[in-house]
Amino acid sequence: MLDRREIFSNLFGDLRKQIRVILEAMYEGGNDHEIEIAHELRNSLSEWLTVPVPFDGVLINALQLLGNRDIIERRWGDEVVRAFEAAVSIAESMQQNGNPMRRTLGDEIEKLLRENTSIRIYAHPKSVEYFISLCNTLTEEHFLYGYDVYSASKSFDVLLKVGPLRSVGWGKCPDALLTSPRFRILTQFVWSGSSDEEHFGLDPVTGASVVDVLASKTGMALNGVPDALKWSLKNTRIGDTVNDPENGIKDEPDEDDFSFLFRIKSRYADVNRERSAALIKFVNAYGILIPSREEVLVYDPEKNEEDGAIELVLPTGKHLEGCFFVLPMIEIADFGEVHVEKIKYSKIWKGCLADVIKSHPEDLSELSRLLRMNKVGLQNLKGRLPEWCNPPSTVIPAPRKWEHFNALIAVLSEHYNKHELLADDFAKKAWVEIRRSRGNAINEGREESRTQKELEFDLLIKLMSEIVNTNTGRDEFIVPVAPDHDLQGSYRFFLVESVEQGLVVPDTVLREIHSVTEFDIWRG
Amino acid sequence: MKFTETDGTCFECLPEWVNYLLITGYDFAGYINKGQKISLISMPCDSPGAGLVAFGAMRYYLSAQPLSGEEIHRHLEDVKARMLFSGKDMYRYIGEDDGNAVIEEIIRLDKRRNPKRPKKEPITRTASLKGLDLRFEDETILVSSNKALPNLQIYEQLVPQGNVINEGTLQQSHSAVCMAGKRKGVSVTKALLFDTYFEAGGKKASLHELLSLVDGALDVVSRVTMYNARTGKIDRPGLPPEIVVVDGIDAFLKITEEMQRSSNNNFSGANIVAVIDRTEKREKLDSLQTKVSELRQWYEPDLQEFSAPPKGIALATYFKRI
Repeated sequence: MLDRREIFSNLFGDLRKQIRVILEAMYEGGNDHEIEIAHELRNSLSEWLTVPVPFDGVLINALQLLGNRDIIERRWGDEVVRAFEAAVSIAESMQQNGNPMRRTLGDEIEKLLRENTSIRIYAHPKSVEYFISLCNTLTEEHFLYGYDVYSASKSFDVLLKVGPLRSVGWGKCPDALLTSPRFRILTQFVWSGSSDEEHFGLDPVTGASVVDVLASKTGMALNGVPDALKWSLKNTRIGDTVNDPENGIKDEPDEDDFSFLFRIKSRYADVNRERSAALIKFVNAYGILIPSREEVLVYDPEKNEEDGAIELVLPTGKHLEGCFFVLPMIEIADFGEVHVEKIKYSKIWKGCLADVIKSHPEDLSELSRLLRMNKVGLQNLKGRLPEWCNPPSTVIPAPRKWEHFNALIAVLSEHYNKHELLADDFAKKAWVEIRRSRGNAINEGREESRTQKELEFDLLIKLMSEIVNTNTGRDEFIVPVAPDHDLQGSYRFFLVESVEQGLVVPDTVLREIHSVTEFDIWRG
Repeated sequence: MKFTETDGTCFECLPEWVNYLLITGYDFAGYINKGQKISLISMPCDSPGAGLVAFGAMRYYLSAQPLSGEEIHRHLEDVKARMLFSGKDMYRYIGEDDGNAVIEEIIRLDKRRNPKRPKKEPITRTASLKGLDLRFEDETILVSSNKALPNLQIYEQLVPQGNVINEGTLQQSHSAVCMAGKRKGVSVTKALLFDTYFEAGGKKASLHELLSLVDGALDVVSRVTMYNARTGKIDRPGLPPEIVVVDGIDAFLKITEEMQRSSNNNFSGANIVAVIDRTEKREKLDSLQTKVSELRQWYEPDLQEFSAPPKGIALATYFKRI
């Protein structure tokens, strides 16, 4: 049974409405920096809709990314500044009232645990803390996330899920929740207006989807629906469901924010010629975005050379799971290899940043403020600062953009007297190092070059025996090119877990290796 | 008849879903003369489902008439130039003598490298086909009484309403049924087959053993071939399969791609049954749906042929428009 609890909140409904006004304007006429803020705001909205976050300062912080009232009025005009002011005022009221989603969900979890019902919560690992803050008897064992974890899970009584059922983007979950239930009841908590994705719960064999079947259900038996997909639906409305026109409360349906976000993002992508891309996810939780029509080098360890172990293929045209994505780190001039153990500059700036965080733990807000003044408009900046201190692994953890990185180095050197960062072109050299680790520096400017790709392919074939010897069952390895070859450098191999198609992204984020979670922003 | 998915322990009576898949495989094999068919079966989890359908289909062919000695001799006569193996020794077929096969040893070149060594005369052997365990290079044994498939009790109890098993079939390799392993690797499919066991009449055997899949040595009788969807190769050459049982979406896409590539390859005339796990990622579910839409240009849905699946399993069958 699908037990759908739809939560109504006039305040939150109004806030969402104001944010839609702001986002529409920003996506319509924003510059690069403003679009980035719009992306952050969009992410915040998506998070509120799919995670039981407390309505504390987080709402206001997200809105303050836009700047102060005067700046907004000058830049965006009356309508947006009114929306901004209304949004801030609503957010303040919401802080006092708390999040009704959290109350409802918390009560339900407590009740189920009291009754000794076996429960699981389908939630992204990053959102687990918000659930645990609702009920401290929850442990990691109560949470599920990902296709493999769900497939391998034993049966239980009730699955709890916050947000609409979607196959992509925020709050995404496997169709198998509906087509292969491991439980008796799926209790879903959604904000009013949030619709489940059309065709979700797809059985590819019959072409039927549970969401579509439920949407058309009229109480009569549906012919042609396989038993595997038969569900009963119970809908409950919770919260401000009373019509109170005197206080501006109308019982009108809220708009589906995900449809809205998809619409404005698509329009922006069309206008700005963003490209269709495939996200190649590696087993080591990293990934890379590749234009859908660009060929990539792959190595299939199950094949030998004659069978085509090395191939140049479109990321959309071949099933890459179990193969290695090959990233050539090759150039004609002597460039040298990219090894994390050879990293020089990152050790210095990461040391400085770690030192600042360690010696001014209470002062992270100040560092964040200084960075914001330098146009580092990232949400949860305080959380990201310690992440950037992490030592290099597959890539060097660092800000994604040169402007942000440069601002970080400037703030550290000028405000925290880290003079070692003031050396000639330190920031630029350190940035080159970061980009090399992401694999994009060498490829830049010649990604469309078929000749270069073919040279890299031919060279890779010659390295077949080295590849076979180096591949000892690890998820990631490097094969250096011997000095007697014309091309110099190395190839990095990443074991592919899966390929996600259909993302639309700007050119600037293509061909860079990042943690898979960093790509969430492009999923909508 | 008992069944378990836990490497040979905790046996239970055949669950409904196992029985359904076995019968579907058996029935599907019986429909082979009614035009090309494609069946898709969706399961709620990863399972040895493809192996079970293949087992049902294999069981169907155990009731068929095995090749007679005369037919085997005629075949060997037709391909006389091909080398034969009996154990590690190589032979060529000379002819038939009163029902027995006459074969002549082929002396390997490396055995004559030493000029001081007297030249060996090739040995000629005459024996019954079933006693020689002959096989072509890279193929399994044609016919053997010594290495006939064991576990007759299990095969007999598998489909109680099925036709009587012709024991001669257990002595002959066959390639009408082909399993296409998961695109991730044949080993992933095989691991499930190794963990799945049947028990009847005091005998138990893994599904891998019962399917008589080749696992290294070719000196065996095998009645099911395995297609590697990754390398695009079948584990042993033979006649094109009549039924291909596919494990997973990726392998199905690969098989249909092969099938459509030309009208004269291993799969162009074969009936296909694909067993799909519904817990696959959405991208894969979508790619399967796209493929099905494409196939529907040439295939019609067939709503009547098979019995309704049990709860949790969905089935769709298509037959080719003539």
